[in-house]
Order: sequence, then C-alpha cells, then structure tokens
Amino acid sequence: MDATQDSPLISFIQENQEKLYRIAYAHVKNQDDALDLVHSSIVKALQKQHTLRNQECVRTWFYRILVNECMTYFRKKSRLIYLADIGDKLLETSAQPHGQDTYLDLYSAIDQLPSQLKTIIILRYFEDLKLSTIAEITSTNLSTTKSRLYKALELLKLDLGGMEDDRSLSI
Amino acid sequence: MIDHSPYDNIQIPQQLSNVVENAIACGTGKHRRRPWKAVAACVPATMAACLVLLLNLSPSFAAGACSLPVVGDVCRIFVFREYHTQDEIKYIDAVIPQIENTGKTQLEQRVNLYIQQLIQNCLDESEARAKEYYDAFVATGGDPADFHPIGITIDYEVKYLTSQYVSLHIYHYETAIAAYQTDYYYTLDLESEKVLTLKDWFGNDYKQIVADSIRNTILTWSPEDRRELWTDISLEDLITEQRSFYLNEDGQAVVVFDKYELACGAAGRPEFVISQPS
Repeated sequence: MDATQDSPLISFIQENQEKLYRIAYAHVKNQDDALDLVHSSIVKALQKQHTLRNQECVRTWFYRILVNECMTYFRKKSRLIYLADIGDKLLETSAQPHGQDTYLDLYSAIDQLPSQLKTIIILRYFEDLKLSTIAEITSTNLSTTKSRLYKALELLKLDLGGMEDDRSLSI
Repeated sequence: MIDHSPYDNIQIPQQLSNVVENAIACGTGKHRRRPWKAVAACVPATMAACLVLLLNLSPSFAAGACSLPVVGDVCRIFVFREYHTQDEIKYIDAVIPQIENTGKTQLEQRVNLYIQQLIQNCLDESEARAKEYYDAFVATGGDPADFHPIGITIDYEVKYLTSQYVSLHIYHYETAIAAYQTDYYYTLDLESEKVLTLKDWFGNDYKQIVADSIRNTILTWSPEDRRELWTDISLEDLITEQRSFYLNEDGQAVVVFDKYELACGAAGRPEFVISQPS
C-alpha cells in the first residue's frame, strides 16, 4: 500500500475536510475534541484503506469510520444516556413548537439526544443523506434507522407530518 | 425541514488543514507525533505483553535501593525503531517503543528487551502467515499480480504514565481475508519494579470487585447492547490474575476482554472501567 498524494482517499479527505469537521463538531460541540476526532478517523481510514471495497462509496465508508469514532468518544465520556431518561428530561424543558425563532432551542434539544439518534439527525437534516446511506454508515438496517429517526423526531417534538412523509421515508 | 444554516456556519478552526495534513502523514506511516498538540512530559505508552511465561520480573527489589525519579523527571517512552517495508506479499508498519529515564537501568533493559522480542515474534508470525497466504493463492492458480498484500501493523499507545506507573498497550494488527488483531497490555509499577496484575491492583478480593463493577456497568447499557452478550458467562471465571487490563488517563483500571469472550463479534473488544467499592 503506497498511499501517494494522488490516492482517491487522500483527495476525498482533503476536499471534504470541512464537512468532516462539521459532522464531528455537531456531535461533540467542542473544537479540540472535534479536531481530535477528525485526526483519528483520518489515521484509521488510511490504515484500513485496503478494507475499502471497489464498489463501495468512499464517502459512506469514511463517514462510518468518523461516526464510530464519535460513538467511541461518547462512550468514553459516559454520555450515552439511557433513552427513557432522556425522554423525561426533554418533557421537563418547555417544548416550543418549531418556528424560525426557536431553532436555537431545537439545536440544544438535538445536543441532548442520545448519541445514536443525534447521528441520524445530523446526517439526515444537516448532511441531507438518504436513509439507506445512513443505514450503511451506522451499520444497521433500514427499518432500525427509520425507527430511530421517528424516535428522534418524537423527542425533538417535531411535527412528523411536516418533516417526513412515507414517500421520503421509503428512500 | 430543519434550517441547517447554524450547522453550515459552524466555524472552521484555522488549524484544521494542519491537523488533516498531519493525520494523513500519520496514517500513511510517515511520522507518528502530533506536533500541534502540547505534549506533556508524561507520554503514556501502553505496552501489552500477553506471553505470561516471559513475565519473570522479580518483585524482590528493595524500594530503598532504587532511586525514584524526581517529580517532573518522568519515565519516557520513545520510538526506538520503526519499520516500513512493502513487497508483493505484505507491507509492514511497525513501531518499537522503549522506556527510558526511570532511574532503573536493569529494569529498563529487561523491559525493553522483552518488548523487542515480543514485537519481533509478532512480526515473524505475521510474515510467515503472509507467505502461507501467498503460496496458497499462487498454488490454486492465482495470478501473483492480483494478490492483495497482507497489511501488518504494530503500534503502541501510552495509556497512563506517572513517576510510579507506566501502562502500555501494544497492538498487532493484520489484515488478510479477515482482520486479525491482538492487544497486549502491560502495566508496570516502577517503585516495586513489578508487572501488575489485577490482584496486585485490587487485592485478594479482586475477582469480586471487578465482577461486581462490570455487572453494574452492564446494567446501564441499552437493551440492544445487552443482547449482544452471551447468556452463560461467568464473570468470576473470566477474571483471572492474567486478565488484561490497563490504567486509563485517570489512573483507573480498565479491564479488557477479547472478541467473542463476552459477546458476539459485533460487540468488538469490550472494556470496563472498574470502580472500587467505597
């Protein structure tokens, strides 16, 4: 494995570094930690690049590594909160209906989501990825991904009718 | 839809491109340090030694006879040698760490020799396996040009380092048809010059303390994660004196299980921070 500067993986990394940083930062909300996660996921990706199959999309493959690094980060920081506890916590805070002036509340609500649900919101609504792609990135099946998305939207108190319909959820 | 302009406007730190270039260099084996990060005097190195038969460090050194390192003048772990080679059968990225500056020359020599032998054994095994794969491939009619070289990586991390303790992790990673990883953990008490076991750390009740702590942690897991565990585990049986562990950056013992010991393969290599009973 002679990774030259022309390697497609290295080009992908260099061209998408800001995106990678945003995804990491959206998860951990801390600049140093986000930089650390970007660094460690790049190193891991390069060390494992022989596991990238020819037909596989580099973006999906890399995002999976990055998301796994974020999950490891959360496990280490003991931020994995049992779903039932988080549900109660969100009920306590005043639930505002979604409107233009309340997106800051929404962002702090997203911050409080359990890490797996947070990932799905970030990838779906900030990175605009298809559910099937998200399922690949998180190494789960499509129906689990859908139910996690529903759960996340429920916890965020977002109107499901306005956010998703069955047609878009089927992709 | 959710307005994602706050997300799009997340400020990109100036250091990002340096961090990325450094990561690319690290990942392609060109160098291993992170120059942008302030490296404290303590660089924890994790060394794992699973060949218990070689653990013959005698604890018989009298503490009074040894000069303890002065605070601030801590044991250092440095890269002694690096191998980066490649041929049509395999590529190797190996790093051999050494410890120095403990103030105990004999101990250092013994430990460093042990690490070198351990890593050399790992490399020899991997090279032999790579050759086997290659020979089998060619013997069954494969074109040598199509052979995907086996990746062999050996690296280390320092998990915890103070003037008294060094906790090291060495990992040996090999990718062929499937990935193969061996982790070695090695925690050294510089004062007593002993390689520590869980029994040394927690005392005679170590089995119970560790098992109880692990059980408590599992109770906090999600049902999905718990489902991955085997149903018929006896933690007390699995926690022997030889059980792998390391000290994390807070100086807490972290017990490590191998793949398939506790759970199905998807669960990976579970680790548990052990809390002491109050």
